[in-house]
This record gives sequence, C-alpha cells and structure tokens, in this order.
Amino acid sequence: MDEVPLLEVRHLDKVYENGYHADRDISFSIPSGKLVGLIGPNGCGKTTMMRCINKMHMPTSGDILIDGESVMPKTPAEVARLVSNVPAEMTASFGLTVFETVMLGRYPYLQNMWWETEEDESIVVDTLKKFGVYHLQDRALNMLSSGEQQRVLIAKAYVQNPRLMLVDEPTSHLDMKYKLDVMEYLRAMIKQDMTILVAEHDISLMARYCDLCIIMKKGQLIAIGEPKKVITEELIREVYEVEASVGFDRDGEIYVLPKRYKGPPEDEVPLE
Amino acid sequence: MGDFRDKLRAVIDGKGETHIERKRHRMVFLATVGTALLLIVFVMMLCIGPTAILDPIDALSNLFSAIGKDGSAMTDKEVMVFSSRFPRAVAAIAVGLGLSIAGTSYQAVIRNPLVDPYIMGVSSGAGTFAIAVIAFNFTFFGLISSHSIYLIAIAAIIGGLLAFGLTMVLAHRADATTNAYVLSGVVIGLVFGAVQTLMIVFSGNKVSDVLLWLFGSFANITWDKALFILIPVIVMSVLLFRYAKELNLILLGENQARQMGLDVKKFNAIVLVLASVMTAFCVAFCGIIGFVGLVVPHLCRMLFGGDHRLVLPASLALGGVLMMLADLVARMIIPGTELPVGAITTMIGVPVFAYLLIKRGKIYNG
Repeated sequence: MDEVPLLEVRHLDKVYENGYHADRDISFSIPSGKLVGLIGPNGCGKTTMMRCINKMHMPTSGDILIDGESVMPKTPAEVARLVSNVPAEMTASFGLTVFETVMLGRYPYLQNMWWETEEDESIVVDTLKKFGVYHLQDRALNMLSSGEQQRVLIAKAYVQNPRLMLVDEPTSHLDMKYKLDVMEYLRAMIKQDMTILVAEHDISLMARYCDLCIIMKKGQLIAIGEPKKVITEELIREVYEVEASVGFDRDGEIYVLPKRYKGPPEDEVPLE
Repeated sequence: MGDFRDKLRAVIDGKGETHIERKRHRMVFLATVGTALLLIVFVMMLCIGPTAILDPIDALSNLFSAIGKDGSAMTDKEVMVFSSRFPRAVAAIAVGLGLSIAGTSYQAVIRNPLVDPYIMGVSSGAGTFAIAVIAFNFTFFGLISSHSIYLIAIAAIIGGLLAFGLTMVLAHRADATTNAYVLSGVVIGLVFGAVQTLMIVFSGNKVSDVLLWLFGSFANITWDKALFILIPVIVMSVLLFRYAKELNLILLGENQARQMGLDVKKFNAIVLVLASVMTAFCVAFCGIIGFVGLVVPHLCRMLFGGDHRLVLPASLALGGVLMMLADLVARMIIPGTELPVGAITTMIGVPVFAYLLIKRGKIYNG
C-alpha cells in the first residue's frame, strides 16, 4: 500500500478577481518529515500557493489534501491545527510580549477556556528555550532585532503543533549569520510528523538545507526533486533568465553563482 | 498534577510563579481593588453634592431607608440620595465603563492607539440628531412624542447608529481593511459634523442647550435614564468580554489571526457593532464625553500589559471610577455651577495622554 503523502496539491488553479492568473494547474505531493524549498522568481505564484494551502485564499479550482483529506471543508480552526505559517515579518500591537506572542500559537487548541492551561505554558517555555529566546520572554516583540523576531515567529508557528509549517521568505531581512541560524532551526525542527515548506530566494541556501526543491515560474510547476538533481545551469536559465554557474564546493555542497541577466525585458507586472 | 506544577515552577526560575499564575493573581488583584475602588467612589458620589455633604453612614442610611420605603413619601435627604445622586452615580459608572471597554475593543480591532469610541462616526451622528431635536424639535415626523424624556436619547442612538452604519457600508465597499474603517469613519464624521455646524448656526436661542448636550453632562439623570444606559452597556460589555482572547490574537494582524483559526471579517464586524451600539447608548443621555474612551485603555495597558483578559476588566473598573470622579469635580469645583463633565475628562485626559505619548510611545510602534 502506498503511503499517504502529507501534502498533496491537485490541479491547483488560482485566478484573482482582477484577472491575474497566479497559479496554473499545479500538482505535486510531498511526504512527511521533509524540509521542502519553494523557489522561483518574484510573482511566480509561491505566496499565492501557500495561501491556498492554508485556506487564506480559496483556489479557483483544484484541491489541497493534508494526510489524504481535503482542507476545503475544514473550519479555520481545524486548518490552524494542521497548518501553521511564519510570515516574513510581523508586528504585535500594544507591546505584546514575546511570551504572549508565542502563547497565541496555542489559540487553535484553547476552545472555550479563559486562560491557557499549564500544559500550554510548559510547551511554550520549552519552545522558547529550544529557539534561544527564553531570556527575551518578557520583552515586547517589536523591540527585538529582526533575527530574534524571526525566531519568535518560528517558535509561535511551532507551538501551533502543525503537520505542515509554511515559512515565507524567512531570511529576507537577515544577515549571513542569521540566515544560517534560521535554516539550522528549521532543519532541527523536522520530525517524522512535520514537514516544512519554505519559500526563499537564496537558492544556494535552499539547495544546502532542503530535502526537496519545488521550482516555479509564472504560476507553473517547473520541477520537483532533490536539489542536487534539480538545480542545474539550464534550469536557472529557464526559470530566472539568468546565466549562472552551478557548482560544488570542497564539502560537496551545491552553490549557485549568478553571472549576468540574459532574458528579454519583462512587460508584465507581477501581482504581489 | 502537583509534580507537574512544581516542575513548571522550577522551569520558570526566579519568578516563583508561572505566567498563567501571574495573570491569575493579577486578575484577583484587579477584581478586589477594582470593586473596592468602585464602591468607595460610589459612596463618595452619594455623600458629596453641592446642596449638602453627608457623611458615608448618613448617606447610606438614607439610601437604605429610601429603598425600604419603595420610593414613596421620602424625606428631602432621601430624595437627594436615592433619586438624584444614586442614579447619577450609576449613569457615570455605566458611561465610564462603556466608553472605556468600547475604546479598548476599537483600539485592538483597528490596532491603532489613537482610536477612540467615536472613530466610527457614532458621536457625530448622535450629535447631529440630538441637535435636530434640541434646536428644531425634530420628532421623527411625529413618530415620537415631543414630550418623551427619551426623545433626545432615541434620536442620538438612531443618529449614532446611522453614522456607524454608513461608515461600515463605506468601509466594506472599499476593502474592509482597518485603514478603510478609520478613513470611512473620519469622512462620515466630517459630513455629520458639517451638518451639525450648520444647525448650530441656525439654532438661535437654543444654542446654549445644544452646546450643553454636546459637552456632556450627568445633570438631570433619573432612575429611568440610568437604567436605560446601564442595561445595554452591561449586555454589550459581557458580549465583548467573551472576545478577550480574540482581541489578543488580532494584535498580530489580520492575516496571522486568520491563519490561526479566527474568522476575521465576522469578528471585526461583531466587535465593531457591539462597541458602537454601546457607545451610542453612552452618549444618548449624557452627550459626548471625550478622552475616557481613549485614555483609560492606555492606562490599563500601562498597568497590566497587552493581554485583553486583563485590560478589559481593568478598563471596566478604571473607566467607572474615573468617570465618577470627573463628575464629582464637575459639580463641586465651582459652587452653584455645574461644569460639563466632558470638559473635565478632557482636561484630565490631555496631560495624561501627553505623558503617555512621551513615556510609552515607543512600545506602540506598529
């Protein structure tokens, strides 16, 4: 018997009200326990697809299945117990503290209780320690550095205890050290029962840390597979219209070095 | 369970209590101190007035004897305490807590610290209709008797809800974002404000009555009127308290709240409707009292942090206490003259707000 994939996207199509066709007939499936990179140029439909997966947007057609069950009939709270999301950045109004922010990740499990339980608290405390932000727990989220903020946001998505975590451009505001830092944390979070889907522009970083890569262009799926097999100079040329060297360093890690822009000027304005 | 608790205590070193315990303890503190303050100031309201200052025992014994008489054949003192000061105190508590809780809810949903309960146009609509009644004897084309004590109140409620409704329609025809709510409220408020200005110009010798209403006052509050405010305010407050956790969630932004399982559009609509209806009842008899709904929520956040499970009850207590104190000042500061309570709350509010902006403005970034 075939194993049921954790996430299955079937013929996903999304056309916005203004007529912009963001995702075109995307189908793929990914197993449990993987770190999956989502790569493609700006406006290629990555974010739209992620928003369809957690039902922030309704697909125009197609279906999203988690553990073999469609998310379409599920309530927002049910989806929130299956899929969590780490935004590129987030603010918390009125001086909400790090602890309170992360504790909000337990909201989908709270039902009708006024206070969280002590079990919720111990989950949050453990997670804060795991992500090295325990000492910041009483600080206001907005007063942290972007690297610290990103860790807090990942911690919040983690205590939501999802099957699938969606991470949108987690390293876009971060320097080299924190980029690696975030990827190490994502890598360390992967367990048998959780998959992480991360959209990111740094292909070398993705290639190094991800088990699988999904490549998209103009709303279509171009390739899916192991980074070392999928990422080639031809693929970069096709997807980004850029000449690049793809090579391996002394440790056998893949790297992508963009050289020069080759493609025609783009006349369409992507929606994002 | 005991072991678990000990373990957790050990985990959270130094503090000696878990976050949840800390919040529970603050809640107990809040309930105790809040109730005590409300009671003390309430008794002060019964004791102190321009006609006579009673000692607390005298005031309370007159109150209970009046209640015992069921309101008939009362002495002058009993009338003063039971029929005048008591309903006035009740109305002040109701309006104070109503405006504070409405302000807290609005600020959270719109995630803007400068928002007050009048942001959605309720006050301008209410004022416009109230002025129409006061200055031009508008009776809704004869639907309501011109002698009814409720005429101005009902007109104000209708006007307030009309302006709020128009704001909601406009905001939803835009894109229903928080900016759309604020901008629609401002625009609708300006329209009603313009009508108000025109009516004031033509109100002739009624102009002082009009201004008196607009500035807000608890003079002329009777038992009927006090209950007419208190009951809806309590109902709306209880309903808003049920959303305390969701008010926390929405502080992370609408997208985050949505992906964590909250139906944001429905939630926004419910909270805004509850807060606006409550505001409309608050202004109905007492006019437009500024600053309480803006400043009290911030004071509570400074005292208890951002968690609405503490901020809402704190707003309730502090709003009620401050409004009663403002009313006391309004009727006592110049003997024989009753100042508009709206002016008093504003005068207390401005320095507090300025202080807050300088001291704590930073944490409100974003």
